[in-house]
Amino acid sequence: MDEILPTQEIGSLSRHLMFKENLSNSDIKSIIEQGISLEVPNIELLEKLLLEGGYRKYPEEIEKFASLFAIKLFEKVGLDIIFNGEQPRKEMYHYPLQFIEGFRFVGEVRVFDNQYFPKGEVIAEPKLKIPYHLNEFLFVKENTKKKIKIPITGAYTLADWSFNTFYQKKWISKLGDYYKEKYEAKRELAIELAKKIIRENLKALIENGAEIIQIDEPAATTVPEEIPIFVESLNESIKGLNAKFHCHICYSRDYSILFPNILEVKNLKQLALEFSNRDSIELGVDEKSRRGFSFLKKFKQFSSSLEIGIGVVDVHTDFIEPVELIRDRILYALKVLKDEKTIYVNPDCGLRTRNWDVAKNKLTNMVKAVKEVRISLK
Amino acid sequence: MIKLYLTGLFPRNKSLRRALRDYDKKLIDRDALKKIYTEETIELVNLQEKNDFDFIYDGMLTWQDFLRPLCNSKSIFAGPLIRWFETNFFYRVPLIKDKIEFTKPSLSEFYLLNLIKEKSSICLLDPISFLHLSENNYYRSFDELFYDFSNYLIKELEFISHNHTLSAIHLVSPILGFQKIDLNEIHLLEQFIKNLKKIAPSANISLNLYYLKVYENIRYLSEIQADIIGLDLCYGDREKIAELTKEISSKYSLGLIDSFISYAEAPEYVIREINKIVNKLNIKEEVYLTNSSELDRLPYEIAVEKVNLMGKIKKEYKNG
Repeated sequence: MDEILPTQEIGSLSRHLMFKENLSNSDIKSIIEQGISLEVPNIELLEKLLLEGGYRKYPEEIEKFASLFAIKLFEKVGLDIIFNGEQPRKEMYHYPLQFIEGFRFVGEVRVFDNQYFPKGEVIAEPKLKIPYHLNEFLFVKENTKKKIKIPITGAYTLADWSFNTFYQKKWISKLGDYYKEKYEAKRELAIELAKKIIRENLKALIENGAEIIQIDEPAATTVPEEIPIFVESLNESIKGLNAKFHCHICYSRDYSILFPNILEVKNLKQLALEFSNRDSIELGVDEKSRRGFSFLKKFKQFSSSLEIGIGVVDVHTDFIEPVELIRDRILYALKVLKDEKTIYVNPDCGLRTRNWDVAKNKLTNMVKAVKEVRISLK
Repeated sequence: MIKLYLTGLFPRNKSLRRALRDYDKKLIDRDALKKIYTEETIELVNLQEKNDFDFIYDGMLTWQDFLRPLCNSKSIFAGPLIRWFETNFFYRVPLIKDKIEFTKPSLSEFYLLNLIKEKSSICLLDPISFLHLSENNYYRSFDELFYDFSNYLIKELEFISHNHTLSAIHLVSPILGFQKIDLNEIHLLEQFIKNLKKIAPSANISLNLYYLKVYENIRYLSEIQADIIGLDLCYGDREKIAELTKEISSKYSLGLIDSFISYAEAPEYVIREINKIVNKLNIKEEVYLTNSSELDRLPYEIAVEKVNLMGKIKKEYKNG
């Protein structure tokens, strides 16, 4: 990477308006205007497709256009490492499950407030139908000169977010201890997913030129006793593969429980974590103002080898963090870690719950803040 | 004899989820949303009645999380999203920014008690859990904070109890199940429960330990003097919990209906487990059966299936 403090997105943008059914003329007009301002090529074709039925009639073409919009937005904002805003994916859990045999959806479960996600149940041994991120990667590769990072939902998170009916029934009454049976069932599922699903996807991506891959594991620290399962599954997914691997984890009660186990994952290069959600919005590089970043001290103690991606904007609020606030968050990380070469700058998490204007403004300020810090370090 | 009750947020069904989405997008107004809340609460009350539940609650369908309704005062504000224990649900941390004082009742709005004909009960977090899950930016000592918060809570509950005959108040205590707490905090909780009994003398007070996997607090449970001790028996070591909880209470509630698995347990399996624990704990009187922790971790249809399962178990147990 040429510059210090490389900027990256964690993954998603909200699904673009162009996916909506029954778009009004004013919707189409605003999409086209946005496309022109982002300098998206073939915008006339998009207008034609939207007028003739849109996503319902031309799903693949619309997915590609939405991806192009995201790529152009990230490029225009000035991010160093980009992807497609996960536009073809409805959701980070729902999307991969469509390509895995052995799962079925059983209903929606709440994540927070009025937000729900469709929850799957494992009813047979998982089998990969086809590598499910290859087409989107090839499309991004064709359409940008920027560095590309592909986010992929990790094995432990897929296991943790699913009802583990198949393996629990297999283990029940085998050990005479309900807790241990559930643990072993979870381990077996996570390792099966790592070997049969995630690793196969990664191999397909790397064979086609992928260089940076982010394993999304938001569930990694959910159950402290299961950290060994998470670490084993991550290892099984990436060991011996030739790419740079990042792992994104967020909204943890305590990131420090990842250590020392996470250091056993030899092929892991970076942890990208959420911090700003728990931070104050006061300016300053003191501990009180930057209380959301307190884990960085422990990170420095624990890890000598890993890079860290610091979440400098909160993805759960429309508040646009001023450049000065983001700058101070970065400066605080530099003050604690004392090594600018190991720090990457990103939002806390994917920006799926924000609209594109908010996402763009947050990312724009993030890039501006990084530029200010780079200048101040020269 | 088996008795039944539920605790915790119950999942919302499809029509309520849709109505909430529409309300957030301003496609329906508050009255239309209120109508759906009413309909869905009545359905849940009917489900419990049909299954011969002994305490009936409203399912807390209006609650965004266990703590939010108490973030309405001038001193407690909803803060950032944080993971709810070892689940994939997130709650907003209450930020305590000023002295907590009772001005006028607001908690009662979150209980739809008018829709319950008899055997009404309410459920809420115990104050120790609430404060552990909050961020205190005002008080210098925990005792002082607890004193003000518990007084505030008691006044809210007094208002509810004054206007409704409650047969039970279910305190949910994830903190007592999940992490070791100080003896001083046990005494504070004990005092809170004494005060609760004064304002609702006819209500059974249950203390339900969710996510029970830390066992140090168990020895203090008899001091707390709740009428019913509820144990999550699907999270930690079931045998060990049963061993440690011997003779701490005259009435137990067994959380054997697992809120983390998607299939309804076989009735014969649950009955076998009940019998094992009843023998181990030497329970002579009735025993309660309940959900291990909040059913909101399950899709609505599965939660309903589990409620029907509980009714079936009660019937089968009665028939020997």
